[in-house]
Amino acid sequence: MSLSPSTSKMLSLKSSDGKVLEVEEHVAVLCETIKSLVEDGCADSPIPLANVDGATLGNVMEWCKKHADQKASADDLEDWDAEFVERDQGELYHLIMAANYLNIKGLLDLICQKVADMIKGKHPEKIREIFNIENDFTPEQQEQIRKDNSWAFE
Amino acid sequence: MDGSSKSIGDLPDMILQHILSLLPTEVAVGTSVLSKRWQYLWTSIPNLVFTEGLPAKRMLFLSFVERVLLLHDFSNVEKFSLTCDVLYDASRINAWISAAIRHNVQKIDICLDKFEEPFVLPHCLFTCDSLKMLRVEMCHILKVPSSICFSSLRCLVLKGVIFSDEYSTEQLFSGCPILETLWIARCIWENLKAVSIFVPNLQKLAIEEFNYDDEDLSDVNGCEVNIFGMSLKSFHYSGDLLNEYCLCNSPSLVTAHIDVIPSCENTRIGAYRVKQLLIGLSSVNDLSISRGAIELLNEVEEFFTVLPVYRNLTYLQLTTVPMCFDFKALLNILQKSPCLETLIFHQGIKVSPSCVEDDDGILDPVPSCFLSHLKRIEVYNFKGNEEQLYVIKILLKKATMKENEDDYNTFSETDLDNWWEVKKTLFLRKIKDKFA
Repeated sequence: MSLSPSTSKMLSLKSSDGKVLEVEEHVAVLCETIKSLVEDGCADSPIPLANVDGATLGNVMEWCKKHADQKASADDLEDWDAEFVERDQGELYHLIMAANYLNIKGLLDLICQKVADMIKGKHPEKIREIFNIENDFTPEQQEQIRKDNSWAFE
Repeated sequence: MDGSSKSIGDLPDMILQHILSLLPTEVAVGTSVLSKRWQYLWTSIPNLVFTEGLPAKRMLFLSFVERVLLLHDFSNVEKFSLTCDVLYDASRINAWISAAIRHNVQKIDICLDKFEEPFVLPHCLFTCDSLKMLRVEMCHILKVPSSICFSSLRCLVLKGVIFSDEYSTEQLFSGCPILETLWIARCIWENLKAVSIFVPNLQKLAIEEFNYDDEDLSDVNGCEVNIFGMSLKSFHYSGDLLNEYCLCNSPSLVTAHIDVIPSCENTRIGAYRVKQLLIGLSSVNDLSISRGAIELLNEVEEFFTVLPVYRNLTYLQLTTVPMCFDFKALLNILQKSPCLETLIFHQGIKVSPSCVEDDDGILDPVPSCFLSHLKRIEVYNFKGNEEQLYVIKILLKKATMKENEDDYNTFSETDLDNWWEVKKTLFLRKIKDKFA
């Protein structure tokens, strides 16, 4: 199915908190989940997206709009993406969950890479702190893990 | 929903594993100390990437790799990547590679160095059904088994490997029936005299070679590499012509990039090898050639006169250093490109020192494309000196590009400072001004 910008119609997307967003079809189909609905002809009424809140849906569609723009160069997109991922952790969490649910590989990879970069070079204590992870090991258990994987803690 | 109350630690396991697989494996394993939930998350990550560090920590590295391979559940391994020294641990390293192969890995990337004993890659690698991408980098002889079948391999990268003999090298490539992309970088062909590579499905081929040793082994010893790639669309050569490469039957070739940096003393052999490269490119649309290639070819007239007609060639780019416009070899190529529309001098234009002030020999006879198809000449790195203006004057005298007032009007003086897009109208006016 070819969906060019000139022939694109509008789709209504309804978020979990009841907000309705009008999006051009050629933008929305970057979400594989929506694309299959469109292809199956099930995309007439507002499409309910039970797992995505309105604010997150807005952010996701902003990304899709930029990436559906055929005129954007690779360098331009890279710069734009770098700015796009500068968000607080709550927003990153919801974007990952939405990208996973809507099946947008490019966006999922982008945010996951951002999170991976947050882990790199950090002390475990720091990672626990920023990701809000409770340390449920005893000091002895922790010591054992460090010993077993000593190369990883060099 | 309250966005700020959620954190990365609340993501489901599957997504956290995806995130961990984007990290070097030791960093991913390092997260096992965070909490009980994280302790074994890494054991399902799809990418395993091992890179050895300091030699003093080798024992730690070896036992780390082994521990990871033991504990990993191998439910879904896509990529196995290993960069390390071999030393006396060949069998250990082979066991790791074999473990990945047994678990249907799709991509293998191995970069090995410092061999203290003969090394042979595990035979099971060469019959791995699941493998889609293989990259082998090692300055070591590549011993292959007698039976090779990479039934799913689409991309093969060989870097630095020493091919052992004609027969096994031919077998290696014939064992890749659906190969689409092949990159041969800095590989050594010196054990071979002539070899034929049959890769019927290959779309992209890149060859890179340079003689780093500064020994002059290039001249006579090179191997004759004949490549039969019926489906080849793109070909890229970059190097100093240590060997002779020829595309024997590539009727669907669209783009080619020939970047020759001449280093061998024997110009005749160099010119011959350039000819062999260019002879197989008769179907290209888009060709880029370095000044070094044209310069070598220019030395031996009997070689450039036998080049084929480039019937489909519409876009020709001349690269690396300013091109001498009076090279007979260049004129010959232009004369054999009847449909050329765009000619680009990527690093500028000049005349060779031997060129006399009389321009009659340059562009004579005028290539037919100059009178019919040529629409555009671009000259980058244009300084506007006498020599360059002289070449441009000849170009304009002999080329009948269609005048187009609109194009002229779109050009500003600032554009001209940086690069010139030559349009006849524009240049005639500019040159008249300069010479007035």
